[in-house]
Amino acid sequence: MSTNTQRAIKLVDLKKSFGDNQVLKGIDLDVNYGQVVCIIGGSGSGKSTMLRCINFLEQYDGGEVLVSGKLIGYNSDAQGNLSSLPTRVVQQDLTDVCMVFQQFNLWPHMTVLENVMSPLLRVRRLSKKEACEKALAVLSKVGMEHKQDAYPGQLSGGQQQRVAIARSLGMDPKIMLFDEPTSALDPELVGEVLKVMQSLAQEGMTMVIVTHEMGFAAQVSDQVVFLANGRIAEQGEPNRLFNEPQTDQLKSFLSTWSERNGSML
Amino acid sequence: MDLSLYVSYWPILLKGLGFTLYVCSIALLIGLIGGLLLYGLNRLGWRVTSFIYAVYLTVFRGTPLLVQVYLVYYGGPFVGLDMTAEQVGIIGLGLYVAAYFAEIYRSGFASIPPGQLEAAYDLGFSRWQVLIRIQLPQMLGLIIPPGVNQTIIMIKESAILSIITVPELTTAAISMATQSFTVIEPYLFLAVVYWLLTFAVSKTGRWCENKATGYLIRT
Ligand SMILES: Nc1ncnc2c1ncn2[C@@H]1O[C@H](COP(=O)(O)OP(=O)(O)O)[C@@H](O)[C@H]1O
Ligand SMILES: [Mg+2]
Repeated sequence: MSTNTQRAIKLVDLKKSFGDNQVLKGIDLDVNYGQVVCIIGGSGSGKSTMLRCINFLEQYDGGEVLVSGKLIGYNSDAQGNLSSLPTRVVQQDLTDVCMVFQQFNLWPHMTVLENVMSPLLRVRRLSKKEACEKALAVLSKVGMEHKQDAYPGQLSGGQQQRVAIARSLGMDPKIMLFDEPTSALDPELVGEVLKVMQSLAQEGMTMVIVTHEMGFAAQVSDQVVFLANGRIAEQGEPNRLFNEPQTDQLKSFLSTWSERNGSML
Repeated sequence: MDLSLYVSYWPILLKGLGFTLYVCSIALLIGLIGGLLLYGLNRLGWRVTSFIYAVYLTVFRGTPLLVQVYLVYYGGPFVGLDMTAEQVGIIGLGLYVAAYFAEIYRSGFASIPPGQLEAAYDLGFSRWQVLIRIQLPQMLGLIIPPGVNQTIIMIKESAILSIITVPELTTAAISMATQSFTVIEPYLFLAVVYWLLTFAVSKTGRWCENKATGYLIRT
């Protein structure tokens, strides 16, 4: 493995516009293998868009996204001209990357077990027996194997999110992207999801997490990135960033957050 | 009421019924596939294709089937369009119902949250797999009821084809009426048979709908 030399994710001057609304104005970011990076920032600052550019759910229109050193979404010829790659190739280049969504996005017509097995059968082409074993293993990892026959609609939000995490884990990702995984949950259900994510972090999973859970961010992350107006306004170790914010933007963001949520950490 | 009439006319009536079933089946097939193609055309999102889609829907939903069939059958030869009554009938009915099916598909596809599809693509599903595994199974429960409705309307509308002499059920009943100088027997028979047909379609549809929405009932 070349994990020491190659970054898990490298963003170089990443830009993205929707119409004439430039949402990302040049993002540079390095994520090493095994690192946990939390992205914070106000609503509309471009956090989701940045994350979605990494796994090419949004097509970026400037700069580069590199995963394990490989350019995602485009092919660059000898002259440096870019051409779009077919979806199948992009998906192939992104097999190590899985995303967990705010709205869980489980498939409601499949049981919990079927949700986790489906990509193993259709994408990984495992046999039914192998897929079932694998699915049960990842479900027990998130503490959901007892609900294998339930439908998503019968589960609480926290349980659905844990199943969604298991569905991703089944694909053996090396990098996981989380877009506000606990924002749609009732407060009492947030903990069970964060616990699962924390254990993933401890096992060395590379994670990029968009979150408003500052306590969690301070606890698990190696690096916190503060996004404002489509730019990285400030980034660094959580201790430094939360205790000694340098920019006015981060200062005001943190103080607004504390007013709403009580003491900081 | 002279029941013995049916004894002498049953071959004609049966043949008519057979032809109605044949016409409606082919038209339904054209409608199902044509509607999907139309939906796809609209989904391309190009200005040209969206315009074609809009015009198609306006024409086929905004004018009576009777007028469409008349125009093509009697007006067609003037512009070099020479089709038999059966061809005009089947294709006309099919294209007509395709316009309605296109809109039914559209509402079905629109009902599935895009996040579900993104999750599937993210996990490596192909477009085709997303359609077959994620979209269609969930859409069925939603599109079956309006689809059945439209099919029932189509079966009843197919009686219009008697006007351009397509040898279907209504044509058979009319010829029975004129030959035997009766009214009640042929038209009562017609009413009962159309009702039976639509009843069967509606029952079948209900059964399919229950199958397709099983997962919703359990939740
Ligand atoms: N699909 C889209 N089409 C148009 N504008 C979008 C789209 N997605 C996001 N935006 C815009 O981009 C900006 C950043 O959005 P987003 O990345 O979701 O922010 P965040 O996740 O930080 O709240 C917002 O102004 C939003 O309106
Ligand atoms: Mg967001």
